[in-house]
Amino acid sequence: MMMETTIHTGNYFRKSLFFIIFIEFSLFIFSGVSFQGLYQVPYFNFGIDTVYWLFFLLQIPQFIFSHQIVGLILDLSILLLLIYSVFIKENIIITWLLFILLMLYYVSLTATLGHRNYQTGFFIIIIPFLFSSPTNRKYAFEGIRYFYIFFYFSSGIFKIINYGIFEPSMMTTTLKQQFIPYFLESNLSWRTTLNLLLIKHWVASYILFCTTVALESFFVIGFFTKKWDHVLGILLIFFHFSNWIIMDISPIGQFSIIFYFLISNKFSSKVNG
Amino acid sequence: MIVFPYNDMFSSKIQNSKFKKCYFVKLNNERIKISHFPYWKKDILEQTPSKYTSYFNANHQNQLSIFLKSKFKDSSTLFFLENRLTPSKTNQADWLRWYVGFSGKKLNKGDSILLVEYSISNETNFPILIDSSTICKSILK
Repeated sequence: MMMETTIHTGNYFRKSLFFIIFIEFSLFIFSGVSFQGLYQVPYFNFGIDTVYWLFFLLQIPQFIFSHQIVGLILDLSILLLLIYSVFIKENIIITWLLFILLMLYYVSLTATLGHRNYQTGFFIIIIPFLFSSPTNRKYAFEGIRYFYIFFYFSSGIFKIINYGIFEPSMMTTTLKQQFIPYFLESNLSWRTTLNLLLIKHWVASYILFCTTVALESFFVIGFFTKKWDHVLGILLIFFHFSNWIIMDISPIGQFSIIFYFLISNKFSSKVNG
Repeated sequence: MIVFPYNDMFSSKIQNSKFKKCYFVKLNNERIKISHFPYWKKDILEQTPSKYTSYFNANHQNQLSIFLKSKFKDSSTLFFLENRLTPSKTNQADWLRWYVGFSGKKLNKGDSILLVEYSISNETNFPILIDSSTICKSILK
């Protein structure tokens, strides 16, 4: 018999996902870059992107940057709305509010940083929950799934068509540039030691780079079948966490996307069972 | 668009990879350390000095200001858009003060803050500092 609950309407899945977003946002706060942390930012920079333009034309980020109390209220509001969504019940208005606030946060954070960042998962994964109809929610999940499959797959393809993969010193050069602050500060942590080891052994670094290209390109399978989604989730864990360790690029905002890939297949099989 | 950020990151050979310019802030002639911070804070402290230097060297204009000037000829529209989409002509002292505060350092009267450009050589197995020059300086009154 078909279960009534599917991944798209399942309460357990929704609660788990919102709990992971709660962890993600808490980590942003812990890093000191929450709304409140961006108090008095005097310089921001973003390109030709209408989403950024919309928020900045309304002067919302500027207002938040200049009022610490507003930043604090927004940080607490996001946490409380996430707690409500996890522990109390689903509410479409609250979900919309969360989506807008988290997107505003991403816009404010990356405008401060001066360029966009790949960690968009923590607000994009909320899009399906903006719809109450299970059909719309299902299509929204499908859209997000295909978007991220394309995102990771195209990253692998770019490394081939831009000749990065044909450059054996690519990884060692990148590692040197990524770790300049560590070297200048004589930071002798295990991460610097690992970095030096990989710079010295360029063959090992090149193999790692080729493995990354293979891993990202493997996402092409997601266009043809969903059976491998949990494998893609495991590959994402391997990819992002090794990036975190080796390149010092954290995946904080992508935890929810990793979770989605890991669990979607499991839920699908339950539904069909 | 917002959802398509940097998926060609690390995909092509780095041009002129033997030398790199990077930017740091010094408080009372001591470089502010950033590598011990959690990822996002470290990233902002690492990236913003180079972005601000470009803006500062281009007479307080960023790429968006240049784009807006090329697209909007009507002065009132241009003023409206520039006013909201680009930072106000920030006093360098404000930016330097914000940076130091963001890094968690306390500021006192008479402190000197410098934005410094470093030239780094990547020719050996680890980066070597070969030169440095001051971009801008502020002394706290």
